[in-house]
Order: sequence, then structure tokens, then C-alpha cells
Amino acid sequence: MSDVRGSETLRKYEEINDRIRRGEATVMTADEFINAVESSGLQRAAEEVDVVTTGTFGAMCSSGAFLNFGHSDPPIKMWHCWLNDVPAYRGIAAVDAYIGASAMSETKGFEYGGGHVIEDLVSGREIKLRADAYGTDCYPRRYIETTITLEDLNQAILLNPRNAYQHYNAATNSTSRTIHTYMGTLLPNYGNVTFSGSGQLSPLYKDRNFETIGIGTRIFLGGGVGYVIGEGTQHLPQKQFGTLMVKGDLKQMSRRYLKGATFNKYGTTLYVGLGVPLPIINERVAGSAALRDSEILTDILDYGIPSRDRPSVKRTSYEELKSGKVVIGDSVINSSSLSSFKIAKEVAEDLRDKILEKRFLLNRPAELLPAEREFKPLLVKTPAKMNARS
Amino acid sequence: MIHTMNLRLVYRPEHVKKPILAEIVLRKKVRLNILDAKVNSQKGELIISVPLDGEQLKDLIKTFEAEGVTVEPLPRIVEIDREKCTSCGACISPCPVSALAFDPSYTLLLDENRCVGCRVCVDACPFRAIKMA
Repeated sequence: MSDVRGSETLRKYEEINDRIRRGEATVMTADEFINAVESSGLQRAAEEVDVVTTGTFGAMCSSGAFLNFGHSDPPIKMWHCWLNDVPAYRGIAAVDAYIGASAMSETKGFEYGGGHVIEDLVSGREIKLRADAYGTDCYPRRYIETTITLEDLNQAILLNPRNAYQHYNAATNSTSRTIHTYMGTLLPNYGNVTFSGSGQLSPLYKDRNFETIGIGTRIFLGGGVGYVIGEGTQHLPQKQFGTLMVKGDLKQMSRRYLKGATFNKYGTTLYVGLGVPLPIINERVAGSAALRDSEILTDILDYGIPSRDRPSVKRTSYEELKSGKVVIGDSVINSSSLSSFKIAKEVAEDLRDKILEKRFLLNRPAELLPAEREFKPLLVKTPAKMNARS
Repeated sequence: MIHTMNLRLVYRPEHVKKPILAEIVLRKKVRLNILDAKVNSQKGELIISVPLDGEQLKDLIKTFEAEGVTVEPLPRIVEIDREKCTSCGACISPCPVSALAFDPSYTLLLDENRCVGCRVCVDACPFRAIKMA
């Protein structure tokens, strides 16, 4: 077998698509593939299965949508802009805006944010648009208030700078008070453990070495079709913290797989349903796609320590986390997920069925994602140091 | 198996100073659990959980009513809005009485007999899908 990452020694993309078109492709979800490997061995399963589908449905704060509103008459070059009182980013052309999932309503605060705006848009609900402007010779209007729906927009493009973490740290709390975090409610004195990610269904963990996922990879995104457009922010593949930047047409997506959410006393976010089809192009990819929850490890970190470098309390597996009970020291502690396995499974099954029904083809990435990246901290420099350097 | 039932007890101002609950506990030897209590000089409202059903439950309700306490059975303390719930699990491990769990297909289940109405799940739910009934 060739050592080159992404080598197509078992089958080529063209062969897979030919089989899909002829209705002859063998396609399985990652759960099903694990069973196939168990019963017939990795080598045989790798020879027989063309594509393994994956899925996840979890909170992905680095999500948002580019919207184009069209021009009013007289036209406006929007300065500030709000959608249902949630501020949208306006540092781009006159009537383009970016609504970010974690932006919060200026009237409802934690209860409504950009993630909810995106869910409301995709549900076909009317959204209140408000914008001000300083007025120019070419864009004289200074204020606008109207309503929009998804259908009214010229473009609504979901573009998420960081989605689908390969795996994530689990969380607990050593302090004597309940804390409210992006990892949910953490009870005092190691009262519970929360975790995120779909484990053996995780899109990026199942192609652990990024042999098939790259720029241009067609994926399931929010119930529609999306594309990987590059590595996500904080991509750290050598530690299995790889991430994706993805985009897709919001107009094709569904509210089932895009849900606005609030983490109590933390903020708003968007739950995104995302699935990646993995072509079994070589045995390494097959081996990775066959990884089980018991082989996917993560650290339980103490979120009671308000520091960048939170200490690890225990190294554990997704199998233990998913069992609902985690042993820490002498104690058995309840654990539960923040992302939905039920919907993750649905995503993987939907993607499998779309491929089997010839409605979804795979493609060779234009470029693979980096296999190694630095993860640098933000240094807090004193003005004196800054002066000394300049 | 005996089911627990939750009851809301509403005391009128003239009853607030009488130890009605203690007397009934002693008389009926019922192992009740107080889930919530709001008492001031004007009135009192308790939510209790009692491990009784059938005739025994009816008898207990009559005993309270004979003392002038209004009793309202609460079949559910919290309600899950299935339209909003994604079965993510964020409410499960924070629940102090393990009243929430997954079924084998990872759908969220609520065991109403265990729920003590502490509200932790209401705040922990990212989709605001859990409400006090």
C-alpha cells in the first residue's frame, strides 16, 4: 500500500461514483461498518464497502450566514444592521451582512441570538430587519425597517469558520458551586460530566489522518448539500482536534438540522447537523472508519479552573462517556452528552440513503487539509514591551 | 409497584401557624418528601411527593382537605416539548435524581416518579424544551 496520504489503492473516486450511478455501491454508516468489520474482518470489509457515512449534531459557535438583502429605493449603505434585534456584521458591501450564531439579541439577551435567527430563516419565518446609515451621495437613505424571509434574500449562504471538531474535551467541575459553561451545567464537587461529539460517528475522527476530506469535499450540511472549503480555525489534526470550514446554500437546508440554542449564562449558539461521506480509498481509511467508541479517547477537564490550561482529571473513552457513568477516583459520576446521538445517527443514515438513491456523489478534494498545525496562545503584552519592539 | 404522586397543598392564612403537615405525617405515617415550599404570613404553598396511590392516596388527600388545606394533584412537574427537544442529553447528567435518561435509541425519557421539580433541567436545556408544568 502506498504511504502517500490520500492514495487510492483500493478504489478511485471515479470507480465509486460509477458504482453509485449503477446502483451497485455498498454504502454503510460508520456504526454499520464497525459491525461489518467485526463479522468479516477489516480487510474484507474494506474490499466490500465503497463508502462509510458519518454524522454529528452539536453546538458549533463558529457558524453563521452571509445574507444579501437586495437594494431598497432609495438605496442604503447599511452601517449597523439588526435581524430580530440581533446585530449582524456590516463591514462588507452595502446590503451584505454576516449573522453570527453567537451574536445575542439586544432586547432578549441570552434567550435569542444569531443561531435562532438562522433557525427562524430556515423555518420560513419572517425576520425584522433594521439598519441605519450615515448616507452618501450614492446611498442616500439613512434608516430602514422592514421584514424579510429566506425566500426574499438573493443569497443566504451558511458559512461556518469552525465546525465538526474531530473530538472534544469532556468537562467536570471541582469547585463547590454550580458553574454554567459552554459545556453546559456542571454541578459542584465533580457532580457530573458533560461531553460533546458523536464518537464513533464523528465525521473527522473516522478519517483520522485527513486522507479523503479536503477542499471541495461535498458533505451533508444542515439537511442540504455543503462543501468543505478548508481547514477550520484552531485546526490541530496531530492531536485529533481537526476542524472544518464549510459552506452551503441555506435555502436548501432544514430546521431539523439547524437549531438555535442557549447555554445558560453563557450565550447563544447554533446546533449544526453535519455529515461527511468517507470513500474507502485505502486500508488506512478503512481502519480509521472502523474505530469504535472504546478506541476514541478524550480528557475530562476541570472547568472549575478558570484558566486556559485546565487540568485533566481523567483520560477516558467515548464508550465510558456514552455509558452514562464515569469513574473518577472512588466515585461513579453521571455523564451525558451535549450533542445529539439520535440526530447524528439520522444524519449518517440520511447521507447513506442519499448516496444509495444516486442523489449524492463523492468527489476528490482539490487539496487535502494540513496534517499538522500550530495552536498558538494569545500573549498579553505590556505596552512597554510593545514599545520596545517597535 | 407504588407510584409516587406529587401534590400541591395550598394553606389559607389561618392555617399557616398550625403544624398540619407534621400532624398528618405522624398520624398517617406517610413518608412524604417536600419538593417546594413557599410560606409567608399570608399563605402557604407546598409541593410534596407521596409514595401512595389508589385508596391510600385518596385517604391522604381527604385528611388534608378535612384540615382546610386545598389539595391539587400534579401528575407531572416538568414537561418536555418534543418539537423543541433534540435528545441532546444536556439535561441528563445535571439532574440530581436521575429522572432523565436515554432509551436505547438515544431518545430522551423523563421518569415522572423520580422528578422532584428542582428546575436544573429547565435551565440546562439549550433549546428551552423543558418547562415546569
